[in-house]
Amino acid sequence: MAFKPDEYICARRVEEVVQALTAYKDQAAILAGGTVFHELVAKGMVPQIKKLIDISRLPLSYISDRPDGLRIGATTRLAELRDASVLKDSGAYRAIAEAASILPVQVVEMGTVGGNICAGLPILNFPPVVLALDFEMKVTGPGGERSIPGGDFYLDYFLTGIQPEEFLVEVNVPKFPERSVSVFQAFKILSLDYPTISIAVRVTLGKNDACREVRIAFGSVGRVPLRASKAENRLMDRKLDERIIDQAIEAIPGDINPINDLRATAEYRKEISKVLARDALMKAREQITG
Amino acid sequence: MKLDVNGQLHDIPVEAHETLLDVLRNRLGLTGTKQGCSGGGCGACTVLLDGRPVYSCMVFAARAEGMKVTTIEGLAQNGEIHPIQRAFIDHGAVQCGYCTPGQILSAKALLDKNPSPSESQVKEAIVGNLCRCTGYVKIVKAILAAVRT
Amino acid sequence: MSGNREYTYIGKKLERVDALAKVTGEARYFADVQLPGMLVGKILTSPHAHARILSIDSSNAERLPGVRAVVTAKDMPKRSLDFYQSGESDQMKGHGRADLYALVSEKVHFVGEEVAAVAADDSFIAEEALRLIRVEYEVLPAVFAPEESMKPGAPTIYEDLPGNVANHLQGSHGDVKKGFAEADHIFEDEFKTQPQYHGALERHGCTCTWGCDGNLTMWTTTQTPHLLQWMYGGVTGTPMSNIRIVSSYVGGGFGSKTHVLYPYHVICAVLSKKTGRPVKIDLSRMEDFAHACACPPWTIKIRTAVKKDGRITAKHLDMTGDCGAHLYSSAGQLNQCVTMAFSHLYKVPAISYEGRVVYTNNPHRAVAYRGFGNPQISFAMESQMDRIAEALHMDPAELRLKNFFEPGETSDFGWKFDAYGLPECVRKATEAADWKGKRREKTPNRGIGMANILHMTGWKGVFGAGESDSTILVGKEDGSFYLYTDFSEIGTGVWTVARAVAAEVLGVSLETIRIVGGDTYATPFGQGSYASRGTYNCGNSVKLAALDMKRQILEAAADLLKENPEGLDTKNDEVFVRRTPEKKVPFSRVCWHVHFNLAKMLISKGNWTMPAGLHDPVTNRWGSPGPMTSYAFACQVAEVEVDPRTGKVQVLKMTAAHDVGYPINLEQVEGQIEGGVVMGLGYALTEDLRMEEGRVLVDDFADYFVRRSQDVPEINPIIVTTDDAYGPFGAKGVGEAVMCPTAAAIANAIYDAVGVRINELPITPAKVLKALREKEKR
Repeated sequence: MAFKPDEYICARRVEEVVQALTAYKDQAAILAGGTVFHELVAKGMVPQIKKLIDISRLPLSYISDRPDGLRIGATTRLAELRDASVLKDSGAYRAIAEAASILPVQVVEMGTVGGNICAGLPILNFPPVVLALDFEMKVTGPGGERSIPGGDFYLDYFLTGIQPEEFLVEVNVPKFPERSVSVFQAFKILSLDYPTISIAVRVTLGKNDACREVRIAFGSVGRVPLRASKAENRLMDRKLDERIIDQAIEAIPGDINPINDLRATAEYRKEISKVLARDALMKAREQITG
Repeated sequence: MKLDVNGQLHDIPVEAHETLLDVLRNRLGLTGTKQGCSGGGCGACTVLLDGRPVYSCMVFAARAEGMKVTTIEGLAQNGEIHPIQRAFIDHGAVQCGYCTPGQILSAKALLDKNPSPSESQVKEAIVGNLCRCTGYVKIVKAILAAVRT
Repeated sequence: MSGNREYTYIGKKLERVDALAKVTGEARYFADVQLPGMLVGKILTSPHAHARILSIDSSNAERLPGVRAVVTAKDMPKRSLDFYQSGESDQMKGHGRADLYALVSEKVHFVGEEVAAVAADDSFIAEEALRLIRVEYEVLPAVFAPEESMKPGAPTIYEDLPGNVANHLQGSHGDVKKGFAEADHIFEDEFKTQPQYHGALERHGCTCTWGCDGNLTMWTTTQTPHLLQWMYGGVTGTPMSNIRIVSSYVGGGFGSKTHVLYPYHVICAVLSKKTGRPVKIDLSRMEDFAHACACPPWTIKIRTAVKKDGRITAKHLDMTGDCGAHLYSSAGQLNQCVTMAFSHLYKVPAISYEGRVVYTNNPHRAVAYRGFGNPQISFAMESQMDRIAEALHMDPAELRLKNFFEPGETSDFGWKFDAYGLPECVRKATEAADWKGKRREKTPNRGIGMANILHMTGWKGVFGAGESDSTILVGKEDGSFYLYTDFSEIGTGVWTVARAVAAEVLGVSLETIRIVGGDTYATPFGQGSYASRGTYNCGNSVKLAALDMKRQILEAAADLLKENPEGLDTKNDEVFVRRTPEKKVPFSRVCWHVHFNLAKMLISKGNWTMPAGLHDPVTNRWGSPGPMTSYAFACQVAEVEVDPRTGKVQVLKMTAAHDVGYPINLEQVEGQIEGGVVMGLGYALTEDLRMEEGRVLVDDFADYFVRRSQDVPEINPIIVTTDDAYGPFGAKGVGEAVMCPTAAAIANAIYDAVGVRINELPITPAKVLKALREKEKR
């Protein structure tokens, strides 16, 4: 069966979208930037899609910095996140701007944060950031709005906690304490490539520069983004010096589940996970302590 | 749907599955925009949408309604070629020519936004445009030269 | 060297003939041709690596509304598409087996082999029709590695060839036993090289349409339109005057579009004939990757004997290639590796070799790839040379210089090396790269490495004993010109060279000459673009045509000026009297005079072939000056930095010195060097057409790692001029040499940086990291 949708719906209201999703369920696809969707089309992975629901004209493109945290509209383009001062010049939210700094320009100008999150593909940049920054996904459906915590969001390849009649409208990021920094880094084979492995780290330092909070999350290490919880535990309440970091990162390979593919072997990814973590943690520490 | 291409409004029938690339090449006969791959990021299909560079093979035609589409055919004004086109000719940046329209449009998007980019910014602007012939060296040189004009 | 060159165009800054059309989007490639009533052609390919075809039932497909034709093997010509390989044609000597058919009838030999095809109103209907064609297969055991394929008991891929060895080459020269016996040291190394995908940005395909009088017009993308025309005629029995191949602009070839008649060419023509409508087959990038053209993977073992002063006394080569299920030109590639680089990069008194190309059920098409085997054999030879240099405590550059020929020397095989720029390339490249300084420096994790090569300019004997190109020049009534060349413009700038040569010889402005190329309806026969022969062969044939045209112009002008033609010359679109230059007449006047007063025409032709020697198959010696007349020499120096924690290699700088004889268009020569180095870096570090169980694992550029704008190091191209006696204005070829030394230079630089030698391409970070870990343990 070839991909041949019969209707392109340019939605103007959220209710329109929910109605269409409820009516067409698995036959409908949400489109904002479309940059991931078109790859799926090319690979013949979405022949069942008959209805295209374009949500790019809904008023869902905004970045709002509130006292209780960030609210980012689902169709906010990656280019805007990359350039937003409230993100790139912040400490705690910097990883969002870094993850949005994808190449090439043709994709970052069209692609949206919603698309990057909801594809359910751990090779994209945002999934580890979702875990590291405790994103909350606000979705809307026939039953109204609900929130899905980031830790429960990714279920499997291409499978998130969003139900067929729901779609993502907003992403909420909590307010983090002072002396918090987040970092996103990717190890790539060439300048323009999906990450061989990526990392998002968030660190909050407390009294005596000890870790009050630490999150280490990886992309491209399994069917979903994964947290290196054992390594996180080894760092809690400790100072982030090189010796402590080196000892903590040894636990990472045990917490991740990479595969062999065209970019690298599982073994190589495990090696690099430690290098990436070390770099990201050192960078975070430097940025906080100055 | 109505499609604004290079300043001209076209009223054309479009099917849901058709991409902007399909419509430009097959319905409007604007074959300067090329298809080089199946969505793998070669960039030969690059056009400008409201001045921003996009992969036209990854944009549904219907998505572009109400936006201004610029293709390579729209760069020359009043019979004069654009300075970027001139620079590509003058600096040996053209070999087989298949990537050339996409490179020029990516360059235009950059220079319209940032009139004096660094070499590194130029390289970033065209990283989504694959070239198998030139090694990019003279393309970068041409774009930097166009800055000076 | 370059002497006193006062040229108007040669060696000066030249604007490319085709640049304006390409920057405006006006340049048309085959897929841009749209014809009324055009149908979409699609091909059904085999899902199995090795299977017998029991039955094909296309009735359901035929019944689908919108399907205009369905074809299988019975609708195709019986002759193989590469009939000339087998020697069955009495005109060709053949160097292999003919094994390529438009559609197969009895067996499929690889995933992606063409089994049936349809023409339909649109691509949806065509794809649906393919799904409705029922093919019954009996799956057979398959084999995916040459070592396995050669073993007794391995599946036989072609019934007439048990053992699956498609081509075997063996020989020796000189006293090899003595050479090894008298050595102070013997080095033995094994290397593996990977298949590289050409990845030209313009994909494969063609559009065909027939006239009522049986005239076929085929728009396609080919480096060799006249050879394609000849092959199509030979396969189908169609007179060549009824075949028009149009391929003026080609969006890159690199060998994937050179002298091969592909199944899709013939399938498209047959579909068009059957439906009575134009048909376009436009292979998607994913389809192209699925049965991709690639250079064959090779296993190369070299044993080298040296004296402690560095002189090589003997060498032995053992080389095995996987050509997949069709021979294509892989036998020629093996031959070239042996006779060119292995026998002639260094002067060695005794050599022996054995090589084979083996059939497997792998899906790659072993067609020519830029360098034709030279990047692979050079990787092996030049990596080993560095290992030898280290063991002998010699500077790697000194070791090479010690083993070169002398300029003007003739090898034992009769290859004469005039215009021998190889030592100068080594000296210039190493000097420019601060070779000695950088080697002394020893910055941690940084290294410098070099490699040098020789390559051909043209190659005699690809088809028969001849190898020529032609130009026709027509002088129009107003003094402007049409220049008809067999060459397509594939990106290398050959049309610009043609125009510059013609304008230089004629003494006219560039703008008066219009190039017509790559259209067999209008252009004379010639071999086309491959083997680095474009500038050389086209340039020389243009020169001959232009000289004759000038003669005709001068004769007519003499008539007008009432002077002796010997006393005349041309400049700036005018003919003038040398003694009294104020006495002159414009070309426009002369040409008008010829046509309307003398009632004559102005047509000239130039046909040029290398005056190569004759080959004695018994002694394997060539008559003077050898199998070809000119060689492209090069030396590249790489500087790298290795991250020891990840094994990732960053290329800091490439210095590339190339002996091009004389650069007719300097900017384009630089462009070839820059592009070739980047392609070579891809081969060295990241590109790999990975296959598993007979399937290509890569399906698009996202997973095939071609370098981008941000992955390009500083490149310093150095032009070495040696004024070749045979080339037009002293020019030689460069198009392939540019990527031959790169991988070895990188491998040698990595060794210099972190002390690990990787003998298997591509040199991925994982391989480097693994080698570093192993080194630590020791």
